[in-house]
Amino acid sequence: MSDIGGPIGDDPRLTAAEYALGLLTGDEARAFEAEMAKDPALAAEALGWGERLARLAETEVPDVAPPKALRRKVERRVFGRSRRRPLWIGLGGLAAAAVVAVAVITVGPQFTPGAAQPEYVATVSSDDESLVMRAAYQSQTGLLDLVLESGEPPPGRVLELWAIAGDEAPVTLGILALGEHQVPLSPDLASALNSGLVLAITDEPPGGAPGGVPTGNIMAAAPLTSV
Amino acid sequence: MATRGQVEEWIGRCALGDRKAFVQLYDATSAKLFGVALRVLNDRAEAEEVLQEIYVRIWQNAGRYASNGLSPMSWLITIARNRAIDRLRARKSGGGRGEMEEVADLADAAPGPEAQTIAAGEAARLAACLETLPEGRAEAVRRAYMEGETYAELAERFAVPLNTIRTWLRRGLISLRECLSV
Repeated sequence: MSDIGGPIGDDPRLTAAEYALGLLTGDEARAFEAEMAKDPALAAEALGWGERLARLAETEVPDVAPPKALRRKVERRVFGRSRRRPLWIGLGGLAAAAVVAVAVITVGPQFTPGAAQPEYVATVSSDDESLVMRAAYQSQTGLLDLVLESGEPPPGRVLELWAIAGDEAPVTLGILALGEHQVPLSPDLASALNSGLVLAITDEPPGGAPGGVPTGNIMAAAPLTSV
Repeated sequence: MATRGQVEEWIGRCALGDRKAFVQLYDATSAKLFGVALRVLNDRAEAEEVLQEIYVRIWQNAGRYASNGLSPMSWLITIARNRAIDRLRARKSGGGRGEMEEVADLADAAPGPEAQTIAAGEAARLAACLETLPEGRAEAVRRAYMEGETYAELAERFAVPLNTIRTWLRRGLISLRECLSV
């Protein structure tokens, strides 16, 4: 390394500063990275500038609270990041779906929360958290354990739970009431867990959505993510 | 304000897929990172979009934090700043990819715990040293880092030829380096 007081343009330590400042072109930056790989002192120099500049920004750039709704968007994007768009949009479309008789979800006889380790979990909650449902799936039993901790449908309506695999039409899992429930996942839905399966709750007329197609508002939605 | 140790622990737990730790990290750091993105982009809607990308990247790269040598907050700010500048350059070039993608991995490319040992007072020291530079140099350094301005843009801003601005800024960086190593 030449001395810092040497001719302008030759000192690699200045290039390290320019690199940290983002002033190098793509080609120059790649050439400098090759140099850094061979020269730990140079890498440390660039890192030192990066650290100092980041701290300068930390000190000088004022905090700005992002909008509250962004937090949920970030969570959706991070935890459901295999999706290119929010899945619940699919719920709004009147995609053709098989007519499925809507069963009222019943408490499973052998349901013992926490008895086995679930492989997939989801917390499905509305933005104001007035509705919160937790879900856990175990492949051994093929059952989805559900706990609706809070949440009331609008007057004269019921809550209906849906599973959405990728861009497929939503499949009803039944009508939801407060408390613990257990519902089997069909092999098709279970096989979609890897690529992303979203649970969504809508409000529907008594008896459930006519024709097995959601018609009400989406009250909450979240992907099942692997534990 | 979260401590350095807390931020470090949250990042470490994100690497293990701990969603709760991620949310805690978001709550503790999103205002700072949103501020950084806003400073670069000067556009709320774009900054909101980029903030999401920033946290996706943090979640995905958390496992690489331990070896990168930056302090936890600096690592987060570096990611935020680089993603925002990526977006800014894509905007300026009419939708093409920016060139920060490689530079975004600065921390990954540079091994060693060196920077970790830089004391918190160093930021204040850098600020103080910037004030000793001739007119315009400190502004150029801040515009390059915090607003992503290139040599070409700085040359235009200060109405001097491209070669001149580079020589001018590099002289400033020499002085800065000397001031910092005293």
